[in-house]
Amino acid sequence: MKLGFVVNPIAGMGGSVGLKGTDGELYEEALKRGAKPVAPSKAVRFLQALSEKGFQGVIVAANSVMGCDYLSSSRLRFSCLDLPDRGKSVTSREDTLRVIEVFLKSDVDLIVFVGGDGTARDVLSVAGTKVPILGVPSGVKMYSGVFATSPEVAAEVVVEFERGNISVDQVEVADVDEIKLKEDLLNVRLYGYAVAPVLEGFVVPSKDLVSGSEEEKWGIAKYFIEEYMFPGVLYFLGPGTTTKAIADLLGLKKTLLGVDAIYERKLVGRDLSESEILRLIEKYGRVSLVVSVIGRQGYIFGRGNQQFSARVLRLVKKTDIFVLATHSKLAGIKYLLIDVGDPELELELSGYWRVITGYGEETVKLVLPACCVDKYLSSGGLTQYLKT
Amino acid sequence: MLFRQAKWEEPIVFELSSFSKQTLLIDEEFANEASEALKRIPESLVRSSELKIPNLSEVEVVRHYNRLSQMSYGVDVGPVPLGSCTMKYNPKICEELASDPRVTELHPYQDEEEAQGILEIMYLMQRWLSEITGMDECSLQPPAGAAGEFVGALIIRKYHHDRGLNNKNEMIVPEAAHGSNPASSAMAGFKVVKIPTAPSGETDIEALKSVLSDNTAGLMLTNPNTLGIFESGIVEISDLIHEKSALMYYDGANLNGILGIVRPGDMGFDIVHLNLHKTFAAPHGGGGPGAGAVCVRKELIDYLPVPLVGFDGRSYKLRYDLSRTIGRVSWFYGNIVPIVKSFIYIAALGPALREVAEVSVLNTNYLMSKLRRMRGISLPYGENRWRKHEFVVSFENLLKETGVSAEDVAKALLDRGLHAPTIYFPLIVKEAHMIEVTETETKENIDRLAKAYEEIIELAYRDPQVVKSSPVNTSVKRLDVLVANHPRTLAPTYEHLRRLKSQEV
Ligand SMILES: Cc1ncc(COP(=O)(O)O)c(C=O)c1O
Repeated sequence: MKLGFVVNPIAGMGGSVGLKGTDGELYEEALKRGAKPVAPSKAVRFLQALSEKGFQGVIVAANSVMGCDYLSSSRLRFSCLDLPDRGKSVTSREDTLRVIEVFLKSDVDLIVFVGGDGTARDVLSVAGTKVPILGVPSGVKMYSGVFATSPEVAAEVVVEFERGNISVDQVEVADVDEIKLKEDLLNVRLYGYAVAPVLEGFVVPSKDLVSGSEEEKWGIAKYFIEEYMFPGVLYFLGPGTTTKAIADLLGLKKTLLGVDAIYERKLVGRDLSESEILRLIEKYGRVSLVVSVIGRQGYIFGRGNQQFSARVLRLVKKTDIFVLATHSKLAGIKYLLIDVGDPELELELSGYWRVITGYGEETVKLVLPACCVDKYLSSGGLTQYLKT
Repeated sequence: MLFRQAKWEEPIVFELSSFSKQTLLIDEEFANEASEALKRIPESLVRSSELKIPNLSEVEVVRHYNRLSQMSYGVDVGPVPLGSCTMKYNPKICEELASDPRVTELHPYQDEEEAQGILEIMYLMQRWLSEITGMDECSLQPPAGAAGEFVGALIIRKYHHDRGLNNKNEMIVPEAAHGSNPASSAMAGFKVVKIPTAPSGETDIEALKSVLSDNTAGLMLTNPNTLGIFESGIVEISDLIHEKSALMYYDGANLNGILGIVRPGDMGFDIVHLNLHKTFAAPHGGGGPGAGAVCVRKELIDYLPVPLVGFDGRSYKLRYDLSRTIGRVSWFYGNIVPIVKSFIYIAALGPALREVAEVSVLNTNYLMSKLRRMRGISLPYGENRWRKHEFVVSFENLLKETGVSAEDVAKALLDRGLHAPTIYFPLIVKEAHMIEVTETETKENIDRLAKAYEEIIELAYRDPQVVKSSPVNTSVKRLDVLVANHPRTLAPTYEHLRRLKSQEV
């Protein structure tokens, strides 16, 4: 099998500094805020897992930071394109487009890219439905259905695909509309359909573009305020319309996609970055995190709320983390996922959680570590969860 | 089998009256008597407005209802395999005896000494249902299954309060439970904690353990569960709940899978409600009347709703002497008609009651074995387990491969002179058909149902559009479900319909 491999080296950099992406000017802004690249480490993890799982095929990789750099030390068979020019320090969207064109000419069987929704769109715009594509998650926004849950799982999918054990399906490629985002309207646009290998339970289903009814959200927010909001505690409200309903009920103006902080029913921080959150935790001591489930993917950490980093989560007790979701959102989600790039912490936080699903109603859901869904399930005797 | 349903353009009975040309002939003597009698009634009690009832002759009434019945479908016409609803045939002997004037003419204020017959029936029902459920006493007061659940939830609350355990405010309910379970818990003031179903089709015991605490008030469970699977861990579950000083509630709306074979009491349950209008063959649907007996263990008898029927060795009496009773939940004797019908059903079957469960379970698994082999159908959860009273299949693959949904298949069944099963429930199964044939259906009828499924699926792969445009043979074609269920279109009474039509609401 011939595998096309391309990395968007700047994907995902905006997340930890409170940006909703690295498209356009946002990249410069991310650098200014001190963002570090995340895609390279995901690329390395993917390739390592690929080699461990016994991938037999050859890899056609983009040059330098867009691919070959991460392959040079591996035992996988590969060849390098001369795109982009070696020595080019800043890569662009055009580079991705041209690489995909060459992939198509060289008849690859599958394209794996490391990136987010923006990258998925670029790949789709050239590949169309001619070649199946698979995303190694490294973006800030991942609304599309082409992503595996983690680099390791992506490797698993590739190997199973090579062995002919899984087939392809049409999945959505979507992205948040950047312009609307600034006005706090969560406008997820559907860009088209890609063909992707689908291993049930492994590949992230595309986000449910419709979320629960307003009424359900009010019920959840009202219950949360009455039952779990106490004086003397600082509440960090994560992104989303369900968490925003809490602020709305309190008459506060919360950002839709940012993390905001509430203390004594007053807004004390808006659109916070990881370091600002850490500072507030230090200042207030008693804190709670309130997050919602992201679409049909089931992520509670690691998609759209990267500000709640591993460092932040290590400072908060599990019992002080609240997850909210409407029934319509939870329907069809088998388990919830945590992806904070720290397998140890992810494992620690895994297990059964209560999700607030209505007024006076909590629903128990299994929370799994995105790093090692498969390992967790088999070691915990929960392998059965993958089957249905 | 050829099927075409009649289609009459039948107005509702109130609108028929304008066509009526016949009136009741009243002679002078009668008219005089009537006006004399009227004079003796205090003026404040005499109605001044016109009586709003249809003005129709007998023949018009008979024709009206016969036409309506030609346009409808029920167990007396063919199988109604509605899972969770237990639509079994209701023997006519039960109808006959329950319409006996000694039942229908009984006045609620009749002296107890003169109502010994009905009291004896109730007393025996309390005993028999206790025996059937493995409990110690039953109250026949709740007028429906959900009312029984509400009673159970109130008993649990009062029981804990009496022990000073006011922190017990959480009721655990499986995610796949009937919607009335969380609703009754919430109405009784509990927080509802929903737990998932494991892929085996049974309650996820690890999830259950994760939520148990001193706040746990009870667990509401139905076993065999909503998927028709018997909970093999039921004793462990009971022990876990009891260790937390919480109570086990059994939703016995449908007892068809275990009748005479195993008893909730022996599984560790403390409170049970039964839908007499399901398992014990009293007709239901269309709003009742139903009866939801509640049975409890010894320690909880004092909490039951009053009155119970007692027997002192000489006569039967209504008993109100329960010191911790949650109070009254119904008028007088409760809904006596389904109680009498159920009494006759049980009396007629005697020890053969067990066969009801045996035949239902056999029928369920026979049909399931046929369906699960069909293309496009899958059997989610516990693939290698037999089912009890019902089973749930998924048409997810059919939908993916042909665009024909579970709803389309259901509509196509209607076209073949069959009633559709319960669809899209429980929510944990996508594109679900929840099927229950009960002990009523013969092998031939079950084969007919299976054949209909087979035809529809074959058609779905060959010409999906045909399936999607069904039903065409029924008197009412496909409805827009959104409009049909909208409060603006639903009219439960004529008065409401009149107001809808005149745009008053
Ligand atoms: C499992 C279950 N529980 C409770 C009920 C509620 O019974 P009722 O409709 O008599 O209130 C039903 C009725 O469908 C049921 O199937």
